[in-house]
Amino acid sequence: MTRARAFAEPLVATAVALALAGALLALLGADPVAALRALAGGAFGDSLALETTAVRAGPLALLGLGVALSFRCGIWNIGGGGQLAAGALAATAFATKSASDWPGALALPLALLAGAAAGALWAALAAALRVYRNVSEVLSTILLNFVALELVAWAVQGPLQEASRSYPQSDALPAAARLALFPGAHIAHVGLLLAAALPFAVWALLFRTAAGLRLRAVGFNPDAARYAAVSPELETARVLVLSGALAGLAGAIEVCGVTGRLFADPAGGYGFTAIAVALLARLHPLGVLPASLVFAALAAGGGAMQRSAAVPSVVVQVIEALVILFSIGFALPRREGA
Amino acid sequence: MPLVALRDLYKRFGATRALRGASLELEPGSIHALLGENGAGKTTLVRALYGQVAPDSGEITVGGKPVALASPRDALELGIALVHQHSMLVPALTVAENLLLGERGAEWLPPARLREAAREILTRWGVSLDPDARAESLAVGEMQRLEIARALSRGARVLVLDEPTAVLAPPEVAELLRLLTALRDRGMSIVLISHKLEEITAVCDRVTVLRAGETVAAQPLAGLDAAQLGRLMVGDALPPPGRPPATEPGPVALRLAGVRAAGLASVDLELRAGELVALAGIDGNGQRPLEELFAGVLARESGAFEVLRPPLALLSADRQRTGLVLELSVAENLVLPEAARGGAPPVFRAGIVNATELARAAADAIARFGIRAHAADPARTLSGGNQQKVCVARALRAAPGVLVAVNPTRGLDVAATAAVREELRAQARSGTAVLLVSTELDEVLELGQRILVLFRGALLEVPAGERSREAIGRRMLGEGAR
Amino acid sequence: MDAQTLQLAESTVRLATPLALAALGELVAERAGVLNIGIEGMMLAGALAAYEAGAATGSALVALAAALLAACALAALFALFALRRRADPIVTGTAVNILALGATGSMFRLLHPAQAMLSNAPQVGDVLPGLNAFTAAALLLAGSVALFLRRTRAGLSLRAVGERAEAADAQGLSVARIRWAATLFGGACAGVAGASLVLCLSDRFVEGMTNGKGFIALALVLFGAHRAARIVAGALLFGAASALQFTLQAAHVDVAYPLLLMVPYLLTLLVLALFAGRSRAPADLAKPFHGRD
Repeated sequence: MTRARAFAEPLVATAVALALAGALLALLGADPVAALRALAGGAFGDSLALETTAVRAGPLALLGLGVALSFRCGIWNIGGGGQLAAGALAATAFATKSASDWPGALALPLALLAGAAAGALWAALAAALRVYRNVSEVLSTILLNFVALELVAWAVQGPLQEASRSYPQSDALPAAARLALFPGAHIAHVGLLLAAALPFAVWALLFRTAAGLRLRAVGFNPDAARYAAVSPELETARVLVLSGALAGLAGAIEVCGVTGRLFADPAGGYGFTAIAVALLARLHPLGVLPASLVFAALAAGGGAMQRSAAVPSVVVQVIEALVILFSIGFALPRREGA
Repeated sequence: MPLVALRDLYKRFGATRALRGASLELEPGSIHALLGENGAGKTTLVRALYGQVAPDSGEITVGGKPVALASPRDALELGIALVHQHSMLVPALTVAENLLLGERGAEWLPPARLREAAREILTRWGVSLDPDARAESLAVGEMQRLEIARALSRGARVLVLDEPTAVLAPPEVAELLRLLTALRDRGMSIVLISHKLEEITAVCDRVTVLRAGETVAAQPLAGLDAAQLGRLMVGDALPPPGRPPATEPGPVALRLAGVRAAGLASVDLELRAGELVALAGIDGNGQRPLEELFAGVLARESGAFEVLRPPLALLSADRQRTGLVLELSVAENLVLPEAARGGAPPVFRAGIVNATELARAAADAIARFGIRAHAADPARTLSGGNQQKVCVARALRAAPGVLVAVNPTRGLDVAATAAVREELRAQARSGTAVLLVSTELDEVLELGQRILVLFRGALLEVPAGERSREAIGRRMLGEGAR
Repeated sequence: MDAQTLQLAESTVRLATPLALAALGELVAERAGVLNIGIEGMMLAGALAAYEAGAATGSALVALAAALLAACALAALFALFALRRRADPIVTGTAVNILALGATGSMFRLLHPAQAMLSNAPQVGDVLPGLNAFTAAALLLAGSVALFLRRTRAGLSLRAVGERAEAADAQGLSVARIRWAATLFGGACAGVAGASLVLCLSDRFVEGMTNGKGFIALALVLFGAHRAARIVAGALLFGAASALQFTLQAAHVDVAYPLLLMVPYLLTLLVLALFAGRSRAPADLAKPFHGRD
């Protein structure tokens, strides 16, 4: 495939998906042009809209990166949402319960670390089931999404519920555990730098290290990898855990940088959107950056669309699904290198 | 008028031109040999006749009428049946289920009726198999007889067999050839693909020779001898067979004592430095488990496995499945084993790729083995011969003390075959202990200083005084087995 | 049997019914080599279609037909990409699930603005005393699927396609046609399962109301080792677990509600851990067939 096509196809896929979603809206009696205008306004209309888009792109980039890594290695991690929730839960638990026991400068790094570790652990459950019990990660990661969702729901009305016990939410995180905003920004926080930098790190890992070569070999041909003394089981387990860590980190960044406390369902639809991000990126770590911006814009604009054009924001999911279908359908299945 | 005619067929797969002017005319009541080297297009041609390959151009006629064969169903309806080179049975289904698969008839088919129908077919065609046995439990020869019986039971009048003798021992080959002659005498038309000249001269009436996808000869067989056929096949005189290297065996480099594993009964083997030992045997007698054992993929249940002059390198039988990662580049394939060892220097430092060293390693391999490709080309884009050269280069990168090669020339053309065989000899001369596992008897005789036979997962030694096709053939069927 | 046990048994069967319906459909698809993880979405589409058509016409039959149509349309979409375009079935199935979630959500919200009164869907009753029509259908389905797979020529062809597509093709069978048919059948069953959610278990549609039931059905196929009878048994086990959960909740047992909701998923994971490794899936499951060169 030429480089031009690699860039053109995702654009075409997005455009066609938008057009089809518009047609669906028209069919249901809504005004697709007004909806699109509201969507664009909500995503790019002013500096707050732009910041909203950027803030939404952060977790999508990290989750999408994890999905891209795992799909490349031939392992279907559909559990980004659950891993994100586990990360958000752990980061909140640490920040609200024990951050005060640590020096202030360590509160934030440790909260982020706790999130990444919890996400990794959540994915490790699926990895262990796969390695030791031959359970397909497709089912286990999906089921673990539901478990994580209920776990968070329980936590915010149980052990982690705010001191006043009024709402199903945690206490606000202490300031020391919060990610600072960019100077002059309304909501854009410095955690986005991490989300922007990690794709480059993962790119280097994939294409410039022995570990990356092993991982790609396993994804393309596990038999040949095994004959070359690479263990597919070990590599896939590692990748699953790594993608879980990225998702968990995304969850921690959400509570430390955006929401400031834990609510029920911290993942929202991010888990599934991440799959669309990774596929639109052609499973390329750097492609994840623009792809996450596309879906972040849709998510940010979706809210505005629902408010001003009375079009349900869930229509964004339709667009995501269509982008996935066009990404896999019109380019016949094939995997590329760098 | 020929019963079946394929005229001037062309077929391209990506960059490969599999057929470029291939023709075949089959007379009724005859056995027609389709002869050609590996890769000459024989399989593609018969798959076109069976509706499995859509030719880019050309014409197929049956009984003089042009036909469009869109699927095997079309071919079967015209009475054309193909017995593929590799078994086309469904392993998890029973003999009876396989026999009746695709047959038309009453929709209600309870197990009792299925068994009864199968038994009838088996009896009619003289195949003694248990209808309830699973296909995966059959020996290769039994699978083949089952497939032939299935073809005959569907009323085939044209039977095409793609290299049916490749998986058989010499006495089984003789039995199959007797069956084919009997069928011919009953009026059946048969196409027999082979590259074994003596089988062809034994039973065939006419021969069509393919070279590089093109029909270069089509004539009665009478009056042609094996040497003339060989010239037609390769376009030149066959290269004279080489000899085993004349080296003095050194100290023991590899020792297997009483090794048992799934598919291996009990393997005892001592391999010395500088020695080239050839292991003959019919496919399915433990070649695959033995290869997996050497690859470190199959765990042994008991016994000792010692590599006294490490490392051990393996040339896998299946380049595309276990040898190479086709999507990775030539360079990446070359260094994959080093990446597996946590990133060994000099190509990797602290697990990170050193681009200069990687480029140098690839350039060295490309120059030394004459690989016609660039370092960054995906392995998929290489020809079979060049892929095998990459595998050889990779195996030798580790400077192995023991080299195990499993069917290393399968699917290669004459020049590539000669190059690989010479490399094995060169390795033995330089002091490496070389084990060649091959199902090609000629290759075994040409290379092996010592010859062993793999039979039902155990090794039989062929005494030096009995180096003949016959003696080896008898052991391939188990003579002298404990 | 006391009243409480009777009620528990009854809700067990009621809750098991949609799982069994969906799992039996998936069984047929998987035996043909099609791994359809989009049945969650097809159930959801079936549920919405059944609700809208049922609430509008008051006819359960029309509701059922609408559910079949909607689920089959999604199954056809899945087949178009996973079979015809040979796209990865897991990614395709995931896309179908997201599509169904988004599309049913959008349609439901557009058709029923937040304040509007929701009318009830018609309910499907019992065909025999104590035997709901959907349950009867599930039992009938289990029996026919078992007979079809073991005792018919078409069943043999279907199994062969799932075990080794190229071998079936070489015997003149159309792999594509059989796989399409199996996929549509699986979709239809998922549609009926979805319809049973609004025509029997509840009388309303709720966004995302399948809540992972499709995935539990997928796990049941593994648990049932690809056999109809064992799948029904597995569905009953899950029905019992869910019924117990409601009973405990009703009895105000002091366990936090979200933890109770977690039980079916944990149970599924447990069952997978215990049984998935032992189930031999069809050899060509989820492998694309390339057909003629």
